[in-house]
Amino acid sequence: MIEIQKEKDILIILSDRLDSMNADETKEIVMEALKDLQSDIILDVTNLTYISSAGLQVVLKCAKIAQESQKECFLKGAHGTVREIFQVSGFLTFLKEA
Amino acid sequence: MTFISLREAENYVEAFCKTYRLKDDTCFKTRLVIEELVTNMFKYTEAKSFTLNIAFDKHIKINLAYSSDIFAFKAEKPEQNEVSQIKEGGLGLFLVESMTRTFTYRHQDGKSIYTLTI
Repeated sequence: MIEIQKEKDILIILSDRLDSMNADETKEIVMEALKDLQSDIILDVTNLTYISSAGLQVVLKCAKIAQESQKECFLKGAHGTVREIFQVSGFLTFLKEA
Repeated sequence: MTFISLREAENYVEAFCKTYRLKDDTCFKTRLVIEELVTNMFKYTEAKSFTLNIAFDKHIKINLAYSSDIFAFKAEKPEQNEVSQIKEGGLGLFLVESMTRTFTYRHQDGKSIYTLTI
């Protein structure tokens, strides 16, 4: 599930699962929300219970859009096995933890 | 058991986890490696079905097989350079290898066969 809040930063709340079943749909929503990006992005994964490589591609897309717009992409609330996935895949080298 | 979709396999994994009261972390990794391998199968081969067997005896043992040509097995960690240089895709097998205790691939009688333990 995805929820997007636009305030000072853009808060993208990812919850439940982000995998090959819903990654394409989620990516489309994210790309639409990040058009003409003017602020930093915070990816809140506090309530994300499962992520696979398909889900990581959504996160990578956010990071790429942020960089193209000279903004930052922060990761918030990663814990347990979800955090382990981010770590082993190397994503914590370019995602700053909020 | 034979499956024709990832969703069917996930239901099987979920039931397996409940039956053996496995830890969330173990279920996560079991589900992950199966998702990655089955997704690769549908993406890169013409196979329409796969066999999947899971057993629990101290560790989780997974056997997954489907008809396909042999392929150059590669499970390398993608280089993490500049974000803009990171290619999309290619993380699946690396995650499978990272999340398993043992991971073997062999091609036999026209089938790709994966044997894993978690």
